[in-house]
Amino acid sequence: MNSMPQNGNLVLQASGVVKTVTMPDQQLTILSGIDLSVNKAESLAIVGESGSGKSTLLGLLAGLDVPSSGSITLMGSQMDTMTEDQRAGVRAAHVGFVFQSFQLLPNLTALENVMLPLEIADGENVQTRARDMLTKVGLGKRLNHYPSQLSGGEQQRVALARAFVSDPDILFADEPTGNLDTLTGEAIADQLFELNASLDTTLILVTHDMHLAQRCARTVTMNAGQLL
Amino acid sequence: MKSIRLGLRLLLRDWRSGHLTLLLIALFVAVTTHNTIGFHSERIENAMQVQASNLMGGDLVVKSPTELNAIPTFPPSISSARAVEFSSVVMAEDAMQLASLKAVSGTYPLKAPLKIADQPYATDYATQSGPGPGKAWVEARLLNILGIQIGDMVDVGDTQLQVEKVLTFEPDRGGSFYAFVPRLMFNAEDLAKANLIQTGSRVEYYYQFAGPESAITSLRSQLQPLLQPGQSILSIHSRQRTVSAALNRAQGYLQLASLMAILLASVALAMGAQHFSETRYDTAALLRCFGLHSRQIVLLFTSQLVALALISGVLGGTLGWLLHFSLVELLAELLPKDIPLPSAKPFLSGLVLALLILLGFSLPALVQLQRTSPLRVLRRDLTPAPLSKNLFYIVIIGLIGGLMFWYTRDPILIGAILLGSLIAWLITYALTAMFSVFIQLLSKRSSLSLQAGLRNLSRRQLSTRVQLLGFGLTGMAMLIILLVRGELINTWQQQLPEQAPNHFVLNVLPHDVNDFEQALQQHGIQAQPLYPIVRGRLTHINANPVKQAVTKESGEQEEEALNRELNLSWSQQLPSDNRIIAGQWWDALPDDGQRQVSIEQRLAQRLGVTLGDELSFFVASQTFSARVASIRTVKWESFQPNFYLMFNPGGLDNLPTTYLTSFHLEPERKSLLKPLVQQFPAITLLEVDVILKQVRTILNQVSAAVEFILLFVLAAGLTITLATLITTMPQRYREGAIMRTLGANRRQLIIQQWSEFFAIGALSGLVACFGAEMARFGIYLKLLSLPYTPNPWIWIIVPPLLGLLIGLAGQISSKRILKQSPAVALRE
Repeated sequence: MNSMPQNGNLVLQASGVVKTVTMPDQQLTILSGIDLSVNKAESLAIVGESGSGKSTLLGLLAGLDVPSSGSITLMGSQMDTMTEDQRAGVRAAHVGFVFQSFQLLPNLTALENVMLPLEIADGENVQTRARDMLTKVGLGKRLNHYPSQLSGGEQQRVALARAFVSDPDILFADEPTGNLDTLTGEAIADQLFELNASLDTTLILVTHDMHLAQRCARTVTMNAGQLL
Repeated sequence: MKSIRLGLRLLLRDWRSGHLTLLLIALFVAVTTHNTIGFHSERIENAMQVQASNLMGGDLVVKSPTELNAIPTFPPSISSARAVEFSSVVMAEDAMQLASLKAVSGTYPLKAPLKIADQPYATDYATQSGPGPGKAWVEARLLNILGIQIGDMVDVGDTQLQVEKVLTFEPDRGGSFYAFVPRLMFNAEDLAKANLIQTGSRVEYYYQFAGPESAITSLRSQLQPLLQPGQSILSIHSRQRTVSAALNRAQGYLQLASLMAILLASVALAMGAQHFSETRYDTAALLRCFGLHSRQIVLLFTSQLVALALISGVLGGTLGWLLHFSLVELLAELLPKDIPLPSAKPFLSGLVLALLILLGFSLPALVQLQRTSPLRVLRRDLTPAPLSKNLFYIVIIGLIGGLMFWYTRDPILIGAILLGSLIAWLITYALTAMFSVFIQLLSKRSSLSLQAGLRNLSRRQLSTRVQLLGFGLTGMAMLIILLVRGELINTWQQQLPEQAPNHFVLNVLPHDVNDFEQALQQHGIQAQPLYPIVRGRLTHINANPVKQAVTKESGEQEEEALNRELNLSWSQQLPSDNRIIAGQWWDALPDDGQRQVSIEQRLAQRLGVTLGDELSFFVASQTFSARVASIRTVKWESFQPNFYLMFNPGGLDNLPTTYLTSFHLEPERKSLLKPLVQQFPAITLLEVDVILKQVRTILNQVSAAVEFILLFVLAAGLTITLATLITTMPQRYREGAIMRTLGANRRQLIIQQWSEFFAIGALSGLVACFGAEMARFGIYLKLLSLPYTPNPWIWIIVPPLLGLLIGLAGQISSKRILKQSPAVALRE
């Protein structure tokens, strides 16, 4: 296991990243001195026990939060010095997400959920592209179903389609199979890696499932807020 | 633009899923109520305008003691007429009588028609033209006095006119009831031949104009600078006191009810807006995660709200437009026919209202959505920080206060309602605290299901308080409307008992008084006392000319009492329906031989007259003064003889006096009137039973209109019920599923739900009773001028009744909890 990339062409670099939160009676350090670099098209798994800080790290790397100290550069933008709105701009241009709890909007159909990032980016042929992507993940016949009418596996496939439809440079996945049974989880993982490979996307995946982690090119392990 | 487009697309998708129902219904109820009342108010105003124009005889009337030197040229869209009024003696053979003459041009009347009959006491009919040249139309009593018939000739000055018709109604005749001398109307072409108008004659010229509003306004501004002293433009001022008082009260009442409905709908809206934002934290977080800026998030949700407001504004406006016709129909007897339709103003203000209350009540929610962290997609416990509590309350209270001011423009009424609501809110605090103690006591001796339901209430104190306030306010509004309505109608009915006088007799001459009283007794007619009447003008207040003293205060609104002769009277006794509010009646004052006068309260207020002021009068070429000894309230709508100014006994001695009285006569005894009129030909008999019947119809119509508005309050109350159920349902649903998973059976769940909802309903009932009594107190004293009495029955009836109703509503809406399998419920 190695926390440094094998070659150049960096898309993400974190240096000395620290995250602390202030509690009423003490300061809690969640991450301390994280250094990490990721190259284009690389797939990286961050593994660790529950509470090791891996999801916090993912949030920081994706620009959803800022570190207490240290720096993070994502696609050439230094995220830790940017405002939330500036970071939102970077996310809109380069980043896709897959979450453990799917995060589909319950009021939108599968198709509309997949269309959403394209609509935000003011993309063209929104409906066609979303339909194609859903067909690619095997949900061509469930386009107009609401999330509550889909199984967990199907919901996560909608989430995959939504993540890849905007052709992101880098995809962050937080326990993508965590809410699924083993078989369904396998199938979702297959699709995730297939799409990743075919679209040449950089993948950063957080999981405690070693089997899933091993499918990534590189794995780093977290323990008590530090990379081992 | 991108955010707005995206917002509208998401709105359309949300729409399909039914998540916007609550906001839409609450807004729709508020806007529909606003527009129904708004359109209706405009119709009423238009009706008043029509009525006022009819009473004046034109949209614009210039009154002058001399002929106008020049009248500005006016467009053909304006029609004009001229009437000249003066008094003169009319003769027929040996008989002669002072008459009020009116010479009218060929185009008269411009507005409402005259009514005439072919014979005295025959059925009358309307006509849109006046008498032709050489003809005279006269009141029936002139025929009696002169002893002539239709077709006979009368001498008017140097000319002779043939009596052609009996004049029964003249819409623009001032003074109505108290016109002393009988009318003779003739054509203006005969005026010169009559040769009655000499220099110094007391004549009134009326130049009447009717036409489109813009042309009339322009003519008015041209006329204004040309006016000489003594010439005036008559202002619109309804003289139909009884009808307009009933209409004003009804209008005030309808507005109060609509304000209640709008406030209730706003409470539902505030709850809906909070629910809207809570269910959109995830959407906001996800959208931020996908790269939307905080500004774009606000724009996106604002565009959704604006679209919602516009949709409900248009729908509510349209329904309000349709419903206002029903309300106008319900009040048809009060209103003239063919009232001009209202403008689009209420529609536009309805849109403004929708935008204002939706955006206003959603502001705290919007701020929270803007603050949603994108990190929530990873950590669902990250709920955005709410708006500071103080700011939140300032926004809400400011909005509600602003709404109330918009509708009532009455700070005291607003104060009463706000105070009632504040107390109701404080009571919810006290009740929830007491309820917690009650639950602890109960926990030792009741079933687990019952406890679970009641504990839910004490555990979710804030949510419970909001529900108590919501249901409590609904109950409070319903109670106010129901109680005030019932009591209001009763009071009106009491004012107009079956035996209310329906005939007035004027002009009883002093030497006829005894004979007249005897004649009434002979016929078995129970009459009111005979009140002496002296016609006179009020000229000075504390030695200042009255016009100077008053116009300074009241601006352009000239006091009607100053423009015509007043009926002055005196009496030993205070009339039974009068009440002294300042000073004392004669019986409590030493008799110092001085003239003293008692003045009606509203007139005193308008003239700025207080106790001890000296009023000067001009009566039949005499002037005299009297000191104000008391100020009285008068029930004009009681149909008893009433007077602005009443003197002490002896105060009007040696002045030309006639007498007035009123009595009740059943329709089947009307034949008694003819011999009475024949015996006393000089009297004027006014049959007001038709007007009385109209007033009774009005009361029934007003109550029907009020019931109609009650439906809006009910609809608004139901939106609160709906809001409460919708916003708390997800939590109930989940808790129900967990209970079932843990083995609770159907019966246990039903008991739990019933106990929870019944308790909410019963406690809300208490809140409603407190609030209603407080608000009623304020409303009675200020708005309706009625005495307040507490109502103990509501405390016994309302809490259990509301408990049952809310219990039932809760049970029906919670059916899904019982039906759905726990596995599915928990997965959702």
